[in-house]
Amino acid sequence: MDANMQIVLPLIILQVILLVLAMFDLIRRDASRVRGGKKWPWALVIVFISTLGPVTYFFAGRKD
Amino acid sequence: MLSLRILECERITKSYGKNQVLQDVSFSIDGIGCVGFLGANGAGKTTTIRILTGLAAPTSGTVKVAGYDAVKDRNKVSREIGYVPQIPSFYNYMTATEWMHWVGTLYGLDKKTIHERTEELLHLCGIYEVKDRAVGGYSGGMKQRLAIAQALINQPKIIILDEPVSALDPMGRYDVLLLIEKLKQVMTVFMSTHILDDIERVADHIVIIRQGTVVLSSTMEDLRANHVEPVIEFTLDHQAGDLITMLENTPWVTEVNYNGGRYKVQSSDMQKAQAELPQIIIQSGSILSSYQVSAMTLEDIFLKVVNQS
Amino acid sequence: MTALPMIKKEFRELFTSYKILFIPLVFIALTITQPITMKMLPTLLENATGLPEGTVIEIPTPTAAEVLATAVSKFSTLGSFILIMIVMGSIAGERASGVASMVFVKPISRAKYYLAKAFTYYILTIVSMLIAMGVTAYYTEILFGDLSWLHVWTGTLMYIPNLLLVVTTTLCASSYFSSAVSAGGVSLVFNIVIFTVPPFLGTFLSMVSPDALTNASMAVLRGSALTEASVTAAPSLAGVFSLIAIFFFMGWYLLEKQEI
Repeated sequence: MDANMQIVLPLIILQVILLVLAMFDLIRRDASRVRGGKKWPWALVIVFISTLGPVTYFFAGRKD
Repeated sequence: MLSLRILECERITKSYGKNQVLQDVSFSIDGIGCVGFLGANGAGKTTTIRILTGLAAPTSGTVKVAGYDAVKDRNKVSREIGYVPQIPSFYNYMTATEWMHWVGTLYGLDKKTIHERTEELLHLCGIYEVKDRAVGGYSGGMKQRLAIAQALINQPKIIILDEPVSALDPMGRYDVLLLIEKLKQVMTVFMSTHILDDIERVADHIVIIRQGTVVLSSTMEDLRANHVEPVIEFTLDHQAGDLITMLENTPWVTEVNYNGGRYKVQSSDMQKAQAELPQIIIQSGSILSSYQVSAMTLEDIFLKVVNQS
Repeated sequence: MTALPMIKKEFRELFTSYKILFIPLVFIALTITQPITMKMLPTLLENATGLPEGTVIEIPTPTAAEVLATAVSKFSTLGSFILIMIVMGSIAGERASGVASMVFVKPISRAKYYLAKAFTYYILTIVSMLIAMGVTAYYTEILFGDLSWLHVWTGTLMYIPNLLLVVTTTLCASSYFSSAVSAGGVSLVFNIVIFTVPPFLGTFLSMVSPDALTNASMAVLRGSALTEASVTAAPSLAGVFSLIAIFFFMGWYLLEKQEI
């Protein structure tokens, strides 16, 4: 593995954990308890915007 | 049986800035039974209830619930009451059972008692089948029932319900009123509503609030006795002579109405009227086909009381 | 101990909402970017186009301690912002949803309700911060060489009161405002002011300010002697803890007087 890759590795692992955590929460959640009432826009946000995507979903995407 | 003074409001006022929501709320309730707290929307029902439960403090005046001051002894009051808000909410991730257990621990009840009462109350309120589902997925009616169940877990002396049936469908409404009828046998049920029919069905005591002031507080018995003026209604098969003039000239008759073949007579002395009216009719040569004494409806009384004040 | 059911419930919420996992992870992400970008900086600059052939850029390699000191400063910006986001709805949200009116008619005093919330978020903050700094320090050691762990933990612990101040002021705002967003907004503005303005208000205020505590904590992380650092840190610690106490009791008082 490239030496630079190795340096960034922890950040990549973190990003993956956050992504999985956010997706897991989104899948289990009822659509009515997601802001906007639809799940797919949030799925896109979580998957395609690294780190900030899951964080945004976590703070702004969930309703209780 | 000695009946406990369960509620006592003395000259409560409540203002939010310049807006005076309650001007003078005074009433007291003794013993068990159902109290109907009647008023139009915006009359001050919810504000009064929030003061009774200790959620808000009155601007002036004193409130005593089960003998304790609702402001100074907030925690003692909370042990004696159960409260069901108009729109109950819970921690949505909890199931009904979990919520009941959690509330039970707030009252410091032991596990066994909590378990027993939870089973019993969820059955009583008709939500036993959904007890292990998260409350977040409940319908309004189910939440209402859970709210009643959890308000009873401490076996309160008084349960306070804010518009418990106004948001329900006819079946749910029927169920909840039936439940209230059961509860009022063992405790005081204080129920606010803007619907007269509910009061007529279950209330033993009525408190009417209008524009922030209590305009009437009375037991239903007294209300009927004091405000109800009975009406004699009759119809005739055959009419002879000027019956209306004859009746109007009778001293104890206060009012005679004739409308579509039906006579309505109001009297200042009902006993005399009941004894003499049939005779007058027969003497005039008329033949009676129907005759009945009926009471003023609660709606008539309500309109009369509200219009007087 | 009737505050126990309330504390249990708060901790359960940390788990059901994944906050207990999410917050440490976000904190780690926040701090660990520091050693990574520092390490990558020379490579990134080398790859940058437009430099004339043969240009030599000399960047002094920072020490491990220096890297960690800059990592902790992340908490005074993004870290605080995240904490405000988490705490702002804790009381305001329950009032808005109506569940507070279900809870406050039960025999749990508002003091215990408030205490349970504060306790839970204090613990969450402290634990998340310790985990994040621990992981970051470990990785910094791998990339930049040895660290004095005594200084790492002392410096980290010294910074914690600043975070508790953010939590406390937000909780206070949350018990006054009935909307989480207003509570968060007011708390954000207030924290920006209290963290940036005092250094310009004369020697005494700057000595007891949260900013002075940040500086003291960074100095310890850089490796300054602990005895010397403790002398400079003492006034700011006293100042920050006083602020925490003031806003803690103010929030409690506001909740006690609050109409639910």
